[in-house]
Amino acid sequence: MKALVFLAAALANSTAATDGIVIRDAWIREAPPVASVQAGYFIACNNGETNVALTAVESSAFDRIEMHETIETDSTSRMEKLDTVAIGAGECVEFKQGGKHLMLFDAVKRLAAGDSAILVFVFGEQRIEIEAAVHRGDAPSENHSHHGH
Amino acid sequence: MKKQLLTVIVLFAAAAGGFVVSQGVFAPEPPPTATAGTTLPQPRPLPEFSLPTVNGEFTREDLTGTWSLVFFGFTNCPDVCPNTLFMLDKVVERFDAQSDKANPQVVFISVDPQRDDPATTAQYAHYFNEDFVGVSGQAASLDRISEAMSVAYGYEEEGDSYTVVHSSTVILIDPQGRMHTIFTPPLHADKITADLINIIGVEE
Repeated sequence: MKALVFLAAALANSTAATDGIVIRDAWIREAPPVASVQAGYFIACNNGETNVALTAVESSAFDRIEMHETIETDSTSRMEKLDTVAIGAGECVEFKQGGKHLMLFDAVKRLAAGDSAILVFVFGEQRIEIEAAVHRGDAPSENHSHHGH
Repeated sequence: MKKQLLTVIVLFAAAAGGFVVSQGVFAPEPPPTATAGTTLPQPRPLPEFSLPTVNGEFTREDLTGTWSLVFFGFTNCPDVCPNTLFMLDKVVERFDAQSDKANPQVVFISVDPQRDDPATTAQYAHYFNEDFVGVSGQAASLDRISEAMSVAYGYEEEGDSYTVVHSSTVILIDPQGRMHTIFTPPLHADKITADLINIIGVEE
């Protein structure tokens, strides 16, 4: 059963869709060895005709996961916990560096760049599973554009 | 434990006001200033301080003899602190490639002494760059140095734990140990590198 889940995730090539909700570009930032938290980022699009709400993200690879948003005011940053994230019909929500992010607490086993973890995105009754790769540094696409330095 | 955001008076607004005046028509060749932040009209000396590191105390003396970039944060910070430290790693790499001057030293000061001892802070800083200096906070000295650098920090309760609120600025210290420029978010490696080459390349 577990093998099937991994196979499904691999076939989906890190994009998973259920009833019009598409999760893509999910990645986890490698944590420094002493850090007990690390961030996860992704884009969620609601291609359906009704509004949806992301109520939780779960993973057996972490002790717990919360949704947070970095709020920058007057050059001071603080984190706000989000209980739910609404995505209107036809809209996308981006979890990205310096903005909304997943706060991944206490990895069961340290994840290094090149590893991956399965994240389960919970939209009420719907659960969307996706494999998120672990990268060091900034968003993977940005890393590529900076090659040559 | 302080539960409220400790607000530090920001002298820097006054400094920015003075800056406009100093750009008068009589100034023949004004010293280079930052475009990605605010350069003080006059570099501001720092007070004495002493903060613990794995290699002994870090004092004002350690901020002299070289240009320094100082960032305050904490290790249980998954978004802003890694963003900034990876950005500073790029700044040093690009500065090194583009300038024949000595690289600025990067100093990471934890404002969460309860969780970040000197060893933890050093390991955290070294993850981003082997040469980064990790400095652990300690109440009195931390308050003095953060206030001098116009940096605010504080703690907010979150469930049975707490989260840290902190300034996300990067402070440039000149080789005389004086506050020179405050880089303000959004922080971009290329813009800060260009400013550093402009400032460090001219001033010795």
